[in-house]
Amino acid sequence: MSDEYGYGREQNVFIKAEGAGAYGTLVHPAGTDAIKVLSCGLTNAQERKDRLEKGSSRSVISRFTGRKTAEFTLEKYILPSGSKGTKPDDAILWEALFGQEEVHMDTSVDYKLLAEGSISLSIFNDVGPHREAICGAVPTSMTLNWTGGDEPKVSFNGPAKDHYFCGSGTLAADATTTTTITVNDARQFAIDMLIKIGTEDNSGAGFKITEINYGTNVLTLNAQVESQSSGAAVIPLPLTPVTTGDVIPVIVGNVKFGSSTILVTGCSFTVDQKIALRNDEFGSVSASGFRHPEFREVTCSLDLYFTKDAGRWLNDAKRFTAQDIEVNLGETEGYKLEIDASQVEFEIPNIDVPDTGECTISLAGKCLGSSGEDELIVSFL
Amino acid sequence: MQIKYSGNVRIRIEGYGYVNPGETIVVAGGLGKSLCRGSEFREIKNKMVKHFPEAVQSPPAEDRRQKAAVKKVTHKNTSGIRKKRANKTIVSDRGGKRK
Repeated sequence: MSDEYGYGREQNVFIKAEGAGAYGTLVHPAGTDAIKVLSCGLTNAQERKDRLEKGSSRSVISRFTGRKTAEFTLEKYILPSGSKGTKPDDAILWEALFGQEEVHMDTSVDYKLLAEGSISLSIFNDVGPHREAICGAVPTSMTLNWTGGDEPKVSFNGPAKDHYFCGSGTLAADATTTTTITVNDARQFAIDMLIKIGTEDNSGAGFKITEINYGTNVLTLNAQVESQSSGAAVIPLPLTPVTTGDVIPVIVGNVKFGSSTILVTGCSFTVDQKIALRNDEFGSVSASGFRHPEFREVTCSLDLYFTKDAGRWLNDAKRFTAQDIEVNLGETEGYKLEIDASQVEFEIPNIDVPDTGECTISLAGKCLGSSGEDELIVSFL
Repeated sequence: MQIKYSGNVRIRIEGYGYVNPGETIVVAGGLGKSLCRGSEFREIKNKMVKHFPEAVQSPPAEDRRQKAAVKKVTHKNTSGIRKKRANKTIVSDRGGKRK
């Protein structure tokens, strides 16, 4: 990673589950909590309201502060671990989204829907010399998609409680057996973030910033710095990402409606858990938890050529006949993903007749539950 | 420091490369300590290997009995020979590349 510039190609993401009953308490990751991503974005905002009292001037004189919100979105390849029964790197994302994880030794790792999941996450995003983080992140929607020419990917997004940002700087004065350090610019840092000072990293645990004085550029730490000279680098605690897994190729796999294998050019599944943060309670600046007040929505969409045999899917849709869909991505053991939606009711599709090329139809439908919480099961095999 | 990976899938350590199950690698101390906090890595200490070479490879009980007979002779040998044996035990097929 560059210690000077923030390059788009340099991004490391780490995800850690927060403790049970400790929603929104930032949990710092280790290198082994890394996941490989194609993109990751953390955003945040805090409401500022204009003070619109009546008077003799048209000017807005001041503003006051409202509540905080944050969001995350990330996209990545689906990366099975390479060993049946071994969780993928991003297991905690799948588990947080679905609600439950079942690990079957040497067989599979399954993700099944739960009425009310309880996992919240801390997500860290290293970009060049910067580290940002969010706490209280709850994956509320997920999309799996692939085409005949685009490898299977998954994206997760959802709301979060709060956002942190930590840059880097240097010591402005020597630090000897002290828990307070003076840096060149305290505005580069944030409370609760872990830093490394010169050659010291508090035996690998990092120094947590507990207080910042922006006037004097003094940071108060949770542990004592032994001996570092003025000019020593103060940086976010370095984490070396450890990852596993490989991309599932698009050249092997199949889609089945019942026992019939059908050829598709593209496919996607979406789970929207419609989780709501409880961010409207009096007396708090940000969300205090999350709830599941609405029905979830699980949908799928398949694009296929409108060949002779495909007519039946159109008429099945007109008769509201549900399809039992099974998708198998990949063929090598340990690197496979199976998607099982046992009751998919398609909307009535339109036939797309282009000026050139083949006619196609898009089958888009809703995955229904059978006995409940079973609209979709995803298994790494 | 030397650490052994006992996980069951191939992993990639950023800046070091791929590590296969059961492989022993040499990494910087800070990274090694950080990795050893998880359950899939453990440090291999030279000191331990020198004095208890069988602890690293865990040969069958029969081998250990045979070794015990040889051990008396080994102790009478020079420390140079013991060092050689110890070095032989720590096999790292990637360590050289990573230095």
